[in-house]
Amino acid sequence: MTNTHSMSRRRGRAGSLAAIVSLTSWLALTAIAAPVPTVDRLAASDTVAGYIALLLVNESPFPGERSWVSEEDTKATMLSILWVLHNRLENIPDGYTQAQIASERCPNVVAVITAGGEKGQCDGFYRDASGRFLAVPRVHERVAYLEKCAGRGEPGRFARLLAYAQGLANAYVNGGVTGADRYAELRSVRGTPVTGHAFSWMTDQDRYSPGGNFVRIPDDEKGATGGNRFFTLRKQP
Amino acid sequence: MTTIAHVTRALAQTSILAFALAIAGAGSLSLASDDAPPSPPIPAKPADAGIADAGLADRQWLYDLMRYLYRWHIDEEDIDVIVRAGTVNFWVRETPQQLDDGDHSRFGEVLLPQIGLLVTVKKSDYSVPELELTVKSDRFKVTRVATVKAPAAMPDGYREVIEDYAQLRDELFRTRAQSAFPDGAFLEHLRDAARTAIARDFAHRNEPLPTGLQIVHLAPLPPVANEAWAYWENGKTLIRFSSDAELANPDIWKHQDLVVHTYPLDRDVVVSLDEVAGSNAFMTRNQAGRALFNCIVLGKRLELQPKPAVTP
Repeated sequence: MTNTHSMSRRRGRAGSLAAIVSLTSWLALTAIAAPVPTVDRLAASDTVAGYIALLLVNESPFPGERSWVSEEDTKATMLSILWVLHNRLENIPDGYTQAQIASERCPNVVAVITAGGEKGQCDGFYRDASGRFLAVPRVHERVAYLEKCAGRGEPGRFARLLAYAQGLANAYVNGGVTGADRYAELRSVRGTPVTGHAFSWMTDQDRYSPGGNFVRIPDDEKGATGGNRFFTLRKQP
Repeated sequence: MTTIAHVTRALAQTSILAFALAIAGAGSLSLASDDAPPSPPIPAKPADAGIADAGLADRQWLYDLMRYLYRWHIDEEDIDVIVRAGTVNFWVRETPQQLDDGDHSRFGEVLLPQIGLLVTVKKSDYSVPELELTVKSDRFKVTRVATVKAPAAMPDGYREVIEDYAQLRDELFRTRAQSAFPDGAFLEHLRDAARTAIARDFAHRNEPLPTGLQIVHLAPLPPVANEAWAYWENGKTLIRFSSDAELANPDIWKHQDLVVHTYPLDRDVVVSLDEVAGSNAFMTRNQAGRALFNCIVLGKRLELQPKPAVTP
């Protein structure tokens, strides 16, 4: 009896242990394999969240495109671009005016995106005469193609990246940026005092530089991502 | 001293000019790729196994890279220091990246310390199920070129490859006519993609597409970059084709919306980007001029009859 009981208890303990291990594994797996949001279509571009998402996708590389590195790299690009928009809207450093940084006074994020018109701050994004915020056809064509690809077969990187962009945009409209500003604490670039935060991004080629008081964030500060180069500002205007 | 300096300077300028002509292929109006004599293999120098395997220290690749840089990024005066040194110095290294599962791509850098130029390169090796596309390069391809302040001493992690300047110059001169141009199906893919992008642009501006014979100048295909440039003369438009995949891969052209960018020169060129601070919708006159030189002077002229209209 004793032995039987002992064995039963051992089995019981073993069973409990197995159950615990199993539960722990299940929880861990659940945590790891939590469904990653996927979408095969962005919100309508005549909504603020849809328009922001359209910009984030337009400015970031997808698999197969030049400058593609990885899913994480493209997500980091989208987040950094959203931070630039936000910083131009809300984080104007002392000594600067919004018009100096964003090219004009901007009461909201759509104004930041459309500043300067079709060939302005965000190439291809503009307002028409009636005030509608729009994008040129090539932007829509590319994004429509990415959406079409995202809808093929099992949802993969395309669907996850579209969902990430839309998720960032939705969260921003509903409260703010979800995710850290990787350049927020930057105080010096090659000995030049800077304000921190990024205030501009451009295609990462030598010929592109926003000029003025913008300071190129170097590679060792992760200033290049997704084929884009990010820029902060001199501390002294 | 002054005389010697002048002579030295004159010799240097002569060498620079020779180098410039050699790399640019100037003087050669014959553009067919089979005009040049066959190139014997260039003996490889001993190299560190890891870097040699990756191709970053391969001499032929470095020669091709130098030709690309000269055509697209550097000028005669940049060569001055190289001529004086008598060598071309390359600092090369691999730069591993955090990649997605199943992505075996390799990344690297080539730093030319004498002229402060940093070239970022990638040898792609991954698949894109959504595009039913395998992205695989047989060589490292340029992804970015940046002007940098090179450190005085080579940083850890790099390997130095030193090439003899005169040998490089002579080899590039000898093979100056070895320009490859797209033809056959590849050319048709370029044409269709460009036409679609242009038609879309014209439709957006409510302008009719030009009719009649169209003149297009194709720049030589760079063997070290997945990009191609063309100049559409009638429309005064530069067209850039670029991808992470080999452009000669026919599968990439099933996704041509991801490949083409157009630059209408009569609208999108400025002398200085300060004129359009913060916008990257423009290219400078210097950049446009370089692209035009590659397309018109070094390139291949095509006369094309318009195809039936494409709905944008």
